[in-house]
Amino acid sequence: MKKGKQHNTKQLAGKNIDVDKEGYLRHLDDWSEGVAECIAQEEGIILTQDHWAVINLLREFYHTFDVSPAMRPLVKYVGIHLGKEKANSIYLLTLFPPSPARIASKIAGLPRPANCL
Amino acid sequence: MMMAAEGNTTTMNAPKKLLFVLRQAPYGSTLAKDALDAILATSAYEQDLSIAFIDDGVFQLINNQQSELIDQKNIARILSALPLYDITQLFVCAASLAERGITLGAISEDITVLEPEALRTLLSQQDHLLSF
Repeated sequence: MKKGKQHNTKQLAGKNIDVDKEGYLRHLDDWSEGVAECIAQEEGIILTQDHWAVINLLREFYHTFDVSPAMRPLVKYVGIHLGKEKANSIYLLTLFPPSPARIASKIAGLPRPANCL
Repeated sequence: MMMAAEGNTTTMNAPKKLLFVLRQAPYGSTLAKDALDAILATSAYEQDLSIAFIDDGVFQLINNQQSELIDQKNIARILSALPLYDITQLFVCAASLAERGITLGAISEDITVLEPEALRTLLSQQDHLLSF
């Protein structure tokens, strides 16, 4: 196994997985639903159907656009795909406190949104 | 970062006109990706933001970029996310396209083609130009 200075590994869903210093997965392919549940638990979140809808949508966003969305594009994208009533920051904040774009990206196994201030 | 400092001195009701001028081909250096990172970050400040693709920058617009072969992010794919960031003012230099034999059919973005004269006008209307 490669060992670099900034290489942290973590036991997630029974596997050793490379993560960065903030706990984001280093490799997209390491993600699984079990890994998502472990990360969510660390963030104090129990995943429901509503969470999964957003997580799957985030992964679709990343595969389409090659970036993790900041808050505003995420809200818009949710509006397009999950319905207008869910397209607001309060709804997303309730699911993924305290910072929906960051926390949901982490659970979805994506890189930290670079442009998230 | 420069933008943040700028924000402090700008009153809320007077958004600045910012034009990002992109002149570099997408993968020869990291400039194209750096510019996009700056653009996406700047969009959070809700300024009057537009982008002009000039010189080799027009190569960034070509669809069907196979960046995964060199293990890089796909610039064209990131550009296609711009409407979700409320960035819709995209311009491309007609002369730069013509010099490189690029037709609009090779470009997937919804973009306004400007002749050099109109481009000069656009540049002169801005509060700030950010060149990459």
